[in-house]
Amino acid sequence: MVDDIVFWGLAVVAVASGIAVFRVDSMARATYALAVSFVAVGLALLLFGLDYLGVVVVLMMVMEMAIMAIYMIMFMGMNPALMPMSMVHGKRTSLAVAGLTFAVLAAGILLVDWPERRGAPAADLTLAVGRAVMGGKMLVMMTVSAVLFATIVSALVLALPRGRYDDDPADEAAS
Amino acid sequence: MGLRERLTTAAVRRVAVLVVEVPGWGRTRCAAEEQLRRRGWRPALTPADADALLVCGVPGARLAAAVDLVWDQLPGPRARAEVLDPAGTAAALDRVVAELSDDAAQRADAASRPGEPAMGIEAGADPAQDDAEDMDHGDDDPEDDSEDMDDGDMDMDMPMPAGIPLAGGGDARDGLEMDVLHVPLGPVLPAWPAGLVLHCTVQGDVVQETRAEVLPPDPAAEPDGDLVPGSPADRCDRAAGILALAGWADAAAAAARLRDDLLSPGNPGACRSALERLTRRVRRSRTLRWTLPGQLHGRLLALLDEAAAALTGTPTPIALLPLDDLAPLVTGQELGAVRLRVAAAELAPGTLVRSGAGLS
Amino acid sequence: MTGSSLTQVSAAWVPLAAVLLLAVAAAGAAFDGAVAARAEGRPWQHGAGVPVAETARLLRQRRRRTVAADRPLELVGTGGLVVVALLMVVVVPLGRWTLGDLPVGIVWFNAMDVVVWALVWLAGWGPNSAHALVGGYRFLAQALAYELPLMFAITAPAVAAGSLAVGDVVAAQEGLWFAVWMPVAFLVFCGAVLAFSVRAPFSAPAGTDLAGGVLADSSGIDRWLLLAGRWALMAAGSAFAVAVFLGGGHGPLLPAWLWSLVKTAALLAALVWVRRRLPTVRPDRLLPFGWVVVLPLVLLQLLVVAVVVVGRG
Repeated sequence: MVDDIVFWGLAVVAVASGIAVFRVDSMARATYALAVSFVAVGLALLLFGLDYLGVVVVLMMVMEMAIMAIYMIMFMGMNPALMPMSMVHGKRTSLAVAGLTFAVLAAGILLVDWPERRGAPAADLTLAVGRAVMGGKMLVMMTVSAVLFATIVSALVLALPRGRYDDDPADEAAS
Repeated sequence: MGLRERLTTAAVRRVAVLVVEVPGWGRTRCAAEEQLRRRGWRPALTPADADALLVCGVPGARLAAAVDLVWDQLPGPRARAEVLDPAGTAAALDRVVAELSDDAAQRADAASRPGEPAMGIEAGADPAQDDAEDMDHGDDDPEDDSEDMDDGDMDMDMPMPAGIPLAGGGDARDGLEMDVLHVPLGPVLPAWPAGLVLHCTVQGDVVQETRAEVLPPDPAAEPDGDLVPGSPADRCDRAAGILALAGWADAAAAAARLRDDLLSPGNPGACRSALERLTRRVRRSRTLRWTLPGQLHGRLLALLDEAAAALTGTPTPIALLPLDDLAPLVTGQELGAVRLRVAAAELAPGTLVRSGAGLS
Repeated sequence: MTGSSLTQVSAAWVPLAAVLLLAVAAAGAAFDGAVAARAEGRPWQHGAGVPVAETARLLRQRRRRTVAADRPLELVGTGGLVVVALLMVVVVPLGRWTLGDLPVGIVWFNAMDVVVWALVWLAGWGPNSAHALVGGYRFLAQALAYELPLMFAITAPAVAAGSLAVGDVVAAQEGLWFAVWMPVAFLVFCGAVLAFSVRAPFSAPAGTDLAGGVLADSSGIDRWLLLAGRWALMAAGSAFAVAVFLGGGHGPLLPAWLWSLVKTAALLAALVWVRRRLPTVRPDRLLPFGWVVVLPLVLLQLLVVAVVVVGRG
């Protein structure tokens, strides 16, 4: 009963803030409306007993939106802060794509012959998720993530001739 | 005692005072700061943070307009006082408490003020009034404020949300295009030379262009006097400013205490040992050395050494910085570094105004 | 849905937890005021009343609004800090009681401290003011420097305990605190607590050089919420550090809940002392330091911990 109320509450918040993303008139508001939507989805995952996935969704999405707000504001040339601006463009195509996606997903939910549950959920779901995702490739995955990360950082370092602040030779000497 | 009285009594125990120094009243400002410290009050950083506005000296017309604008930005309950000499500070602050504690008067004041915030005067629009924005952050948003004034002609069809013109773009130093806006720094800022206005063109947090001027005091008034440039107290005052801006409140408090002890007739031996302790502390702080931009850590130590030399009777000759030489010092720097460099510069606004050099 | 041996108390205790958190936060602020008063040459008793005086002052002060402020986002940013601090302590046990015995308590704490990113930036964005906005951006730059070291620092106790539940981590420290054999992780975490509560040496987003930065244009109850939020975050961070590094409620003689409180107060006092000893470090100095020095160090610490855990079988 409580779970039902919480689920529907979160679902309404997720959808409403998702709609708000397109209705508000500033980049900052649109970004954080999206963050709220994701947080609601993340919390809904907790109801499935998927604690780790749910909390990680909250963590990642808030972090991502905090950074994304910077880029949204930076790249929207026209005075993004106060200037009321529309958050939608290419309306027809987007509408068509969105409608089609919704139809396909909804049809999938309704038409797919969902299998019956066999067995019980694992005792430690976090561990089970890790095993299921990475299996025996744990070491490879961990190495790859570090290598990818190092690649991104070194690519940035190579691409930037200098940072925003470090042009003062005296500064450099002092540090 | 009712709840309201109790709240009022507790609220005026630690009053935040925004101190405005008019060029030529440096000693009065120091006396005011000493009074604040003795009472356990604190200097405010911004109008929004302040309960009271204390004007040290008689401002000229433009500085007075800027002070009035700041006064409009105090949230209230608020009190305002003028003080003309060091001896008058204690009485002025007592008046401030009385005014702040007067609930009825404060409520009347609140009722008489407009509910919505008003736009300040546009920066750079008219040299006769362009200083007035000073700390009026309410109108300065990097994204929204001030059209690039270099264009000259502003398109009147351009949308202006809340009356704020759009920002123009410009190439930033790291090769990206960034919005350009105009933010005046001063004349009412903590640890900032009296009356100085730095008209800055900023992109993000980097100052790209500056023009400096000093807003003069009322020509009819007789200034009470500044700290003597090169005197131990003056050196400690500058050091206190740099330390405060570096976010080291306790060391800044130590430097300010030392300055006030040096100004009052007292025990020079105690001052000397306090100065030594402070110098050792600053010299040892690796964090400070690491974070201060450029040679500022060396400059800070030099200030303290000069204070020690002046205490023993061999003052170092000080070459005051002409106002025109300030802009090259700060151009291309981040806002925080600009503040630190201005605080470290050997500016003496009082002297500048008297020689007429401050009026650009 | 319990993750450990702790007793999960009912939600009716939440108000008490909130009062306790704010009381610890106020004690921290009072200690800070006392230390500041000593530095100004006044008796420390004068400074200890700072939280009360400042609260009365700000309760009496009117809100000042700025031109074209983004009021809803500003409210989220100012009001959110206290809420996040409360959500952090949900997973922190007081002795053997806890409000929420999440099996992933450590990740929960981490998620909450990431929410601070959004809130501080929103508090800087809201007032439509140059200094506040620069302060908000400074916080995000700084966050990039401290967040990864923080994540790896709290991974170390989780690896050692073999669990993400705070209760299991506390239980694993019976006899030997994790702070003793993973000191780097502990110190990095303490630094991160100072960073997400915007305290020196990480106070640049609210720096004097920005006339208060994100605080520059807030007044009245808004300002109180921001200041109280920062203290509450510092208190919550200390409480969490006590649970995962300093053995939680373990200790002789005293009851477990009292040990939790005493340790939290002691750590908070130590952090206040550090904050008063250090100047603010500029974010552009912190970023290379965080990435080049701290991150490898804390990764090495994690490696050591992992090797020890594997070695113990």
